Amino acid sequence: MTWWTIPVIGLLTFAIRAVFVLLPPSPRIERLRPALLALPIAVMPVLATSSLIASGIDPSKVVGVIVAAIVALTTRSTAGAMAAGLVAFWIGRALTGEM
Amino acid sequence: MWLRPKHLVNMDSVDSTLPPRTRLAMFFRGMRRCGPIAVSAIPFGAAAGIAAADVGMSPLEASAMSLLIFAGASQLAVLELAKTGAPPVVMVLVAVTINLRFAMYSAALSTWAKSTRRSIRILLAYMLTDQAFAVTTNALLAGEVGSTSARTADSTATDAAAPPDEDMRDDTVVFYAGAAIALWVAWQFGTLAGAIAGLQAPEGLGIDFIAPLAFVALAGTAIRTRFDVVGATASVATFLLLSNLPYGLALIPAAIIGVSAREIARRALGVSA
Repeated sequence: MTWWTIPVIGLLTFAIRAVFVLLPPSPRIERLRPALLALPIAVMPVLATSSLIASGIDPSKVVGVIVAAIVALTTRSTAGAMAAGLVAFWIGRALTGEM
Repeated sequence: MWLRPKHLVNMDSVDSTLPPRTRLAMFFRGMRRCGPIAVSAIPFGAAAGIAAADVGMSPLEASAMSLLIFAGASQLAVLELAKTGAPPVVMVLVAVTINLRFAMYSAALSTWAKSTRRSIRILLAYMLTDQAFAVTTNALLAGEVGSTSARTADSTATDAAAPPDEDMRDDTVVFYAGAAIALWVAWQFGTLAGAIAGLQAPEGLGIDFIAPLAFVALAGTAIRTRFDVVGATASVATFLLLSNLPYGLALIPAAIIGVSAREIARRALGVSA
Protein backbone atom coordinates (compact mmCIF):
# COMPACT_ATOMS: atom_id res chain seq x y z
CA MET A 1 0.00 0.00 0.00
CA THR A 2 1.44 3.38 -0.98
CA TRP A 3 1.60 6.22 1.53
CA TRP A 4 -1.04 8.26 -0.30
CA THR A 5 -3.72 5.55 -0.58
CA ILE A 6 -5.31 6.11 2.82
CA PRO A 7 -5.26 9.96 2.70
CA VAL A 8 -6.84 9.89 -0.78
CA ILE A 9 -9.55 7.48 0.37
CA GLY A 10 -10.11 9.65 3.44
CA LEU A 11 -10.39 12.77 1.32
CA LEU A 12 -12.79 11.20 -1.17
CA THR A 13 -14.90 9.69 1.61
CA PHE A 14 -15.11 13.09 3.26
CA ALA A 15 -16.04 14.68 -0.09
CA ILE A 16 -18.89 12.17 -0.47
CA ARG A 17 -20.07 12.87 3.07
CA ALA A 18 -19.92 16.62 2.65
CA VAL A 19 -21.13 16.97 -0.93
CA PHE A 20 -24.73 17.93 -0.18
CA VAL A 21 -23.85 19.65 3.05
CA LEU A 22 -21.80 22.17 1.08
CA LEU A 23 -23.68 22.10 -2.22
CA PRO A 24 -27.45 22.17 -2.74
CA PRO A 25 -28.83 18.62 -3.19
CA SER A 26 -29.81 17.90 -6.76
CA PRO A 27 -33.29 16.46 -7.38
CA ARG A 28 -31.58 13.92 -9.62
CA ILE A 29 -29.85 12.37 -6.62
CA GLU A 30 -33.26 11.25 -5.36
CA ARG A 31 -33.52 8.96 -8.37
CA LEU A 32 -30.24 7.31 -7.39
CA ARG A 33 -31.28 6.84 -3.76
CA PRO A 34 -32.29 3.12 -4.03
CA ALA A 35 -29.10 2.22 -5.89
CA LEU A 36 -26.81 4.12 -3.51
CA LEU A 37 -28.44 2.68 -0.42
CA ALA A 38 -28.32 -0.82 -1.92
CA LEU A 39 -24.56 -0.69 -2.50
CA PRO A 40 -23.63 -2.20 0.89
CA ILE A 41 -26.16 -5.00 0.31
CA ALA A 42 -24.36 -5.92 -2.92
CA VAL A 43 -20.81 -5.28 -1.71
CA MET A 44 -20.72 -6.84 1.77
CA PRO A 45 -21.52 -10.43 0.72
CA VAL A 46 -18.84 -10.16 -1.98
CA LEU A 47 -16.28 -8.89 0.52
CA ALA A 48 -17.26 -11.69 2.90
CA THR A 49 -16.78 -14.25 0.13
CA SER A 50 -13.48 -12.85 -1.11
CA SER A 51 -11.94 -12.42 2.33
CA LEU A 52 -13.06 -15.90 3.35
CA ILE A 53 -11.44 -17.38 0.22
CA ALA A 54 -8.31 -15.29 0.85
CA SER A 55 -8.03 -16.47 4.47
CA GLY A 56 -8.38 -20.12 3.41
CA ILE A 57 -11.56 -22.15 3.84
CA ASP A 58 -11.68 -24.90 6.48
CA PRO A 59 -14.60 -26.59 8.30
CA SER A 60 -14.23 -24.43 11.43
CA LYS A 61 -14.45 -21.24 9.36
CA VAL A 62 -17.48 -22.51 7.47
CA VAL A 63 -19.23 -23.22 10.80
CA GLY A 64 -18.20 -19.78 12.08
CA VAL A 65 -19.55 -18.05 8.97
CA ILE A 66 -22.86 -19.95 9.10
CA VAL A 67 -23.35 -19.15 12.79
CA ALA A 68 -22.44 -15.46 12.22
CA ALA A 69 -24.85 -15.22 9.27
CA ILE A 70 -27.72 -16.79 11.24
CA VAL A 71 -27.14 -14.52 14.23
CA ALA A 72 -26.85 -11.43 12.00
CA LEU A 73 -30.04 -12.24 10.10
CA THR A 74 -32.05 -13.03 13.23
CA THR A 75 -30.76 -10.50 15.76
CA ARG A 76 -29.55 -7.67 13.44
CA SER A 77 -26.57 -7.29 15.74
CA THR A 78 -23.19 -6.93 14.04
CA ALA A 79 -21.23 -7.34 17.26
CA GLY A 80 -23.34 -10.29 18.36
CA ALA A 81 -22.91 -12.02 15.01
CA MET A 82 -19.14 -11.51 15.07
CA ALA A 83 -18.89 -12.80 18.63
CA ALA A 84 -21.06 -15.85 17.94
CA GLY A 85 -19.16 -16.65 14.73
CA LEU A 86 -15.82 -16.34 16.48
CA VAL A 87 -16.88 -18.57 19.37
CA ALA A 88 -18.22 -21.18 16.92
CA PHE A 89 -14.93 -20.99 15.00
CA TRP A 90 -12.89 -21.49 18.17
CA ILE A 91 -15.08 -24.40 19.27
CA GLY A 92 -14.60 -25.94 15.81
CA ARG A 93 -10.85 -25.51 16.06
CA ALA A 94 -10.75 -26.98 19.54
CA LEU A 95 -12.80 -29.98 18.41
CA THR A 96 -10.52 -30.60 15.42
CA GLY A 97 -7.44 -30.17 17.58
CA GLU A 98 -6.16 -27.11 15.69
CA MET A 99 -6.14 -24.87 18.75
CA MET B 1 -40.10 31.77 19.10
CA TRP B 2 -38.09 28.60 19.66
CA LEU B 3 -41.19 26.70 20.69
CA ARG B 4 -42.73 27.16 17.27
CA PRO B 5 -43.98 23.80 16.01
CA LYS B 6 -42.60 22.44 12.83
CA HIS B 7 -43.52 19.61 10.55
CA LEU B 8 -41.57 16.41 11.10
CA VAL B 9 -40.93 15.68 7.46
CA ASN B 10 -40.59 19.13 5.97
CA MET B 11 -37.31 20.06 7.57
CA ASP B 12 -36.99 23.06 5.25
CA SER B 13 -39.16 24.98 7.64
CA VAL B 14 -36.64 24.72 10.47
CA ASP B 15 -35.46 28.15 11.57
CA SER B 16 -35.84 28.07 15.32
CA THR B 17 -33.19 28.44 17.97
CA LEU B 18 -32.40 26.32 21.01
CA PRO B 19 -31.49 27.64 24.45
CA PRO B 20 -28.13 26.34 25.75
CA ARG B 21 -29.51 23.99 28.41
CA THR B 22 -31.89 22.34 25.96
CA ARG B 23 -29.09 22.09 23.44
CA LEU B 24 -26.89 20.27 25.94
CA ALA B 25 -29.73 17.97 26.97
CA MET B 26 -30.39 17.14 23.31
CA PHE B 27 -26.71 16.46 22.73
CA PHE B 28 -26.56 13.99 25.63
CA ARG B 29 -29.85 12.46 24.54
CA GLY B 30 -28.27 11.75 21.16
CA MET B 31 -25.27 10.23 22.91
CA ARG B 32 -27.49 8.06 25.10
CA ARG B 33 -29.59 6.86 22.17
CA CYS B 34 -26.47 5.93 20.25
CA GLY B 35 -24.74 4.48 23.33
CA PRO B 36 -25.64 0.80 22.89
CA ILE B 37 -24.87 1.00 19.15
CA ALA B 38 -21.58 2.74 19.90
CA VAL B 39 -20.64 0.00 22.38
CA SER B 40 -21.45 -2.65 19.79
CA ALA B 41 -19.26 -0.76 17.29
CA ILE B 42 -16.19 -1.31 19.49
CA PRO B 43 -15.71 -4.99 18.47
CA PHE B 44 -16.21 -4.00 14.84
CA GLY B 45 -13.61 -1.24 15.25
CA ALA B 46 -11.38 -3.81 16.91
CA ALA B 47 -11.82 -6.02 13.83
CA ALA B 48 -10.56 -3.16 11.67
CA GLY B 49 -7.63 -2.67 14.06
CA ILE B 50 -6.80 -6.37 14.00
CA ALA B 51 -7.00 -6.40 10.19
CA ALA B 52 -4.64 -3.41 10.11
CA ALA B 53 -2.19 -5.20 12.39
CA ASP B 54 -2.52 -8.26 10.15
CA VAL B 55 -1.20 -6.30 7.14
CA GLY B 56 1.70 -4.97 9.19
CA MET B 57 0.36 -1.59 10.32
CA SER B 58 1.38 -0.21 13.70
CA PRO B 59 -1.34 0.89 16.16
CA LEU B 60 -0.49 4.50 15.29
CA GLU B 61 -0.96 3.85 11.56
CA ALA B 62 -4.20 1.96 12.22
CA SER B 63 -5.50 4.88 14.28
CA ALA B 64 -4.47 7.34 11.57
CA MET B 65 -6.41 5.27 9.05
CA SER B 66 -9.48 5.31 11.27
CA LEU B 67 -9.18 9.06 11.80
CA LEU B 68 -8.79 9.80 8.09
CA ILE B 69 -11.41 7.41 6.68
CA PHE B 70 -13.75 6.68 9.62
CA ALA B 71 -15.82 4.19 7.63
CA GLY B 72 -15.61 0.61 8.89
CA ALA B 73 -16.62 -1.44 5.87
CA SER B 74 -14.34 0.43 3.47
CA GLN B 75 -11.44 0.30 5.94
CA LEU B 76 -11.78 -3.47 6.18
CA ALA B 77 -12.16 -3.79 2.41
CA VAL B 78 -9.02 -1.74 1.76
CA LEU B 79 -7.06 -3.82 4.26
CA GLU B 80 -8.25 -7.04 2.63
CA LEU B 81 -7.17 -5.71 -0.78
CA ALA B 82 -3.81 -4.67 0.68
CA LYS B 83 -3.28 -8.29 1.72
CA THR B 84 -3.77 -9.43 -1.87
CA GLY B 85 -1.36 -6.79 -3.18
CA ALA B 86 -4.04 -4.86 -5.07
CA PRO B 87 -2.97 -1.59 -6.74
CA PRO B 88 -3.88 1.63 -4.87
CA VAL B 89 -6.30 2.68 -7.61
CA VAL B 90 -8.38 -0.46 -7.01
CA MET B 91 -8.40 0.20 -3.26
CA VAL B 92 -9.59 3.76 -3.85
CA LEU B 93 -12.29 2.61 -6.30
CA VAL B 94 -13.59 -0.06 -3.95
CA ALA B 95 -13.62 2.28 -0.95
CA VAL B 96 -15.46 4.98 -2.90
CA THR B 97 -18.00 2.42 -4.16
CA ILE B 98 -18.73 1.27 -0.61
CA ASN B 99 -18.94 4.82 0.73
CA LEU B 100 -21.12 6.33 -2.00
CA ARG B 101 -24.19 5.77 0.17
CA PHE B 102 -22.99 8.56 2.45
CA ALA B 103 -24.09 11.01 -0.26
CA MET B 104 -27.69 10.18 0.63
CA TYR B 105 -27.04 10.79 4.31
CA SER B 106 -25.31 14.02 3.35
CA ALA B 107 -28.50 15.23 1.68
CA ALA B 108 -30.44 14.54 4.91
CA LEU B 109 -27.80 16.22 7.07
CA SER B 110 -27.97 19.32 4.89
CA THR B 111 -31.61 19.77 5.91
CA TRP B 112 -30.99 19.04 9.60
CA ALA B 113 -28.08 21.48 9.72
CA LYS B 114 -29.50 24.12 7.42
CA SER B 115 -29.06 26.96 9.88
CA THR B 116 -25.76 25.70 11.28
CA ARG B 117 -22.47 27.44 10.60
CA ARG B 118 -20.56 26.07 7.60
CA SER B 119 -17.49 24.98 9.64
CA ILE B 120 -19.70 23.00 12.04
CA ARG B 121 -21.57 21.45 9.11
CA ILE B 122 -18.27 20.24 7.65
CA LEU B 123 -17.29 18.66 10.96
CA LEU B 124 -20.70 17.00 11.27
CA ALA B 125 -20.40 15.69 7.71
CA TYR B 126 -17.06 14.06 8.55
CA MET B 127 -18.81 12.09 11.31
CA LEU B 128 -21.65 10.76 9.13
CA THR B 129 -22.15 7.04 9.65
CA ASP B 130 -24.92 4.53 9.04
CA GLN B 131 -25.56 4.24 12.76
CA ALA B 132 -25.69 7.95 13.64
CA PHE B 133 -27.90 8.57 10.62
CA ALA B 134 -30.25 5.72 11.58
CA VAL B 135 -30.49 6.80 15.23
CA THR B 136 -31.29 10.40 14.25
CA THR B 137 -33.82 9.36 11.60
CA ASN B 138 -35.55 7.10 14.14
CA ALA B 139 -35.63 9.93 16.67
CA LEU B 140 -37.18 12.20 14.02
CA LEU B 141 -39.80 9.63 13.11
CA ALA B 142 -40.60 9.07 16.79
CA GLY B 143 -41.01 12.82 17.32
CA GLU B 144 -38.18 12.81 19.85
CA VAL B 145 -36.47 15.59 17.93
CA GLY B 146 -37.75 18.12 15.46
CA SER B 147 -40.95 18.65 17.45
CA THR B 148 -42.32 21.00 20.07
CA SER B 149 -42.68 18.24 22.66
CA ALA B 150 -39.01 17.37 22.38
CA ARG B 151 -38.14 20.92 23.33
CA THR B 152 -40.59 21.50 26.11
CA ALA B 153 -39.46 18.31 27.87
CA ASP B 154 -36.00 19.68 28.53
CA SER B 155 -36.68 23.42 28.70
CA THR B 156 -37.18 25.96 31.44
CA ALA B 157 -38.16 29.60 31.56
CA THR B 158 -34.48 30.47 31.95
CA ASP B 159 -33.72 28.69 28.70
CA ALA B 160 -36.37 30.68 26.92
CA ALA B 161 -34.66 33.91 27.93
CA ALA B 162 -31.23 32.73 26.79
CA PRO B 163 -29.82 34.36 23.68
CA PRO B 164 -29.96 32.29 20.51
CA ASP B 165 -26.81 30.44 19.49
CA GLU B 166 -25.46 30.93 16.01
CA ASP B 167 -23.76 27.53 15.73
CA MET B 168 -26.55 25.08 16.35
CA ARG B 169 -30.12 26.20 16.08
CA ASP B 170 -31.99 22.99 15.65
CA ASP B 171 -32.47 20.13 18.08
CA THR B 172 -32.14 17.51 15.33
CA VAL B 173 -28.62 18.52 14.44
CA VAL B 174 -27.62 18.72 18.12
CA PHE B 175 -29.07 15.26 18.74
CA TYR B 176 -27.23 13.98 15.67
CA ALA B 177 -23.96 15.54 16.91
CA GLY B 178 -24.28 13.66 20.21
CA ALA B 179 -24.96 10.36 18.44
CA ALA B 180 -22.15 10.88 15.91
CA ILE B 181 -19.55 11.79 18.54
CA ALA B 182 -20.44 8.76 20.69
CA LEU B 183 -19.90 6.53 17.70
CA TRP B 184 -16.71 8.28 16.63
CA VAL B 185 -15.13 7.84 20.07
CA ALA B 186 -16.16 4.16 20.25
CA TRP B 187 -14.81 3.49 16.76
CA GLN B 188 -11.44 5.14 17.39
CA PHE B 189 -11.08 3.32 20.70
CA GLY B 190 -12.03 0.00 19.12
CA THR B 191 -9.55 0.38 16.27
CA LEU B 192 -6.67 1.28 18.57
CA ALA B 193 -7.49 -1.56 20.97
CA GLY B 194 -7.77 -4.01 18.06
CA ALA B 195 -4.49 -2.89 16.53
CA ILE B 196 -2.69 -3.35 19.85
CA ALA B 197 -4.37 -6.71 20.52
CA GLY B 198 -3.74 -7.85 16.95
CA LEU B 199 0.00 -7.47 17.40
CA GLN B 200 -0.03 -9.65 20.51
CA ALA B 201 -2.65 -12.26 19.53
CA PRO B 202 -1.39 -15.85 19.37
CA GLU B 203 -1.40 -17.53 15.95
CA GLY B 204 -3.99 -20.16 16.94
CA LEU B 205 -6.71 -17.59 17.60
CA GLY B 206 -7.19 -17.13 13.86
CA ILE B 207 -7.26 -13.34 13.75
CA ASP B 208 -7.28 -13.45 9.96
CA PHE B 209 -10.82 -14.79 10.30
CA ILE B 210 -12.06 -11.61 12.01
CA ALA B 211 -12.39 -9.65 8.73
CA PRO B 212 -14.51 -12.29 6.92
CA LEU B 213 -16.70 -12.54 10.02
CA ALA B 214 -17.14 -8.77 10.12
CA PHE B 215 -18.25 -8.75 6.47
CA VAL B 216 -20.66 -11.66 7.04
CA ALA B 217 -22.12 -9.80 10.03
CA LEU B 218 -22.46 -6.59 8.01
CA ALA B 219 -24.05 -8.43 5.10
CA GLY B 220 -26.44 -10.26 7.40
CA THR B 221 -27.62 -7.10 9.08
CA ALA B 222 -27.95 -5.23 5.76
CA ILE B 223 -30.13 -7.87 4.10
CA ARG B 224 -33.75 -7.25 5.06
CA THR B 225 -36.00 -7.98 2.08
CA ARG B 226 -36.24 -10.62 -0.63
CA PHE B 227 -34.93 -8.00 -3.08
CA ASP B 228 -31.83 -7.68 -0.94
CA VAL B 229 -31.39 -11.45 -1.17
CA VAL B 230 -31.64 -11.21 -4.98
CA GLY B 231 -29.03 -8.40 -5.05
CA ALA B 232 -26.66 -10.19 -2.68
CA THR B 233 -26.93 -13.50 -4.57
CA ALA B 234 -26.38 -11.80 -7.94
CA SER B 235 -23.32 -9.92 -6.69
CA VAL B 236 -21.70 -13.01 -5.14
CA ALA B 237 -22.43 -15.08 -8.26
CA THR B 238 -20.90 -12.37 -10.48
CA PHE B 239 -17.88 -12.15 -8.23
CA LEU B 240 -17.30 -15.90 -8.34
CA LEU B 241 -17.70 -15.94 -12.13
CA LEU B 242 -15.18 -13.12 -12.52
CA SER B 243 -12.88 -14.24 -9.73
CA ASN B 244 -10.05 -14.71 -12.24
CA LEU B 245 -9.76 -10.93 -12.54
CA PRO B 246 -6.69 -9.74 -10.63
CA TYR B 247 -6.57 -7.66 -7.44
CA GLY B 248 -10.19 -8.12 -6.46
CA LEU B 249 -11.29 -6.09 -9.49
CA ALA B 250 -14.34 -8.35 -9.81
CA LEU B 251 -15.87 -6.47 -6.88
CA ILE B 252 -16.82 -3.47 -9.03
CA PRO B 253 -18.87 -5.34 -11.70
CA ALA B 254 -20.25 -7.58 -8.95
CA ALA B 255 -21.54 -4.55 -7.05
CA ILE B 256 -23.07 -3.04 -10.21
CA ILE B 257 -24.76 -6.33 -11.16
CA GLY B 258 -25.99 -6.85 -7.59
CA VAL B 259 -27.51 -3.38 -7.31
CA SER B 260 -29.06 -3.69 -10.80
CA ALA B 261 -30.52 -7.14 -10.07
CA ARG B 262 -32.07 -5.86 -6.84
CA GLU B 263 -33.55 -2.86 -8.64
CA ILE B 264 -34.89 -4.99 -11.50
CA ALA B 265 -36.51 -7.40 -9.02
CA ARG B 266 -38.01 -4.48 -7.09
CA ARG B 267 -39.48 -2.89 -10.21
CA ALA B 268 -40.67 -6.20 -11.65
CA LEU B 269 -42.79 -6.69 -8.56
CA GLY B 270 -43.98 -3.09 -8.62
CA VAL B 271 -42.48 -2.01 -5.32
CA SER B 272 -41.84 1.72 -5.33
CA ALA B 273 -39.85 2.13 -2.10
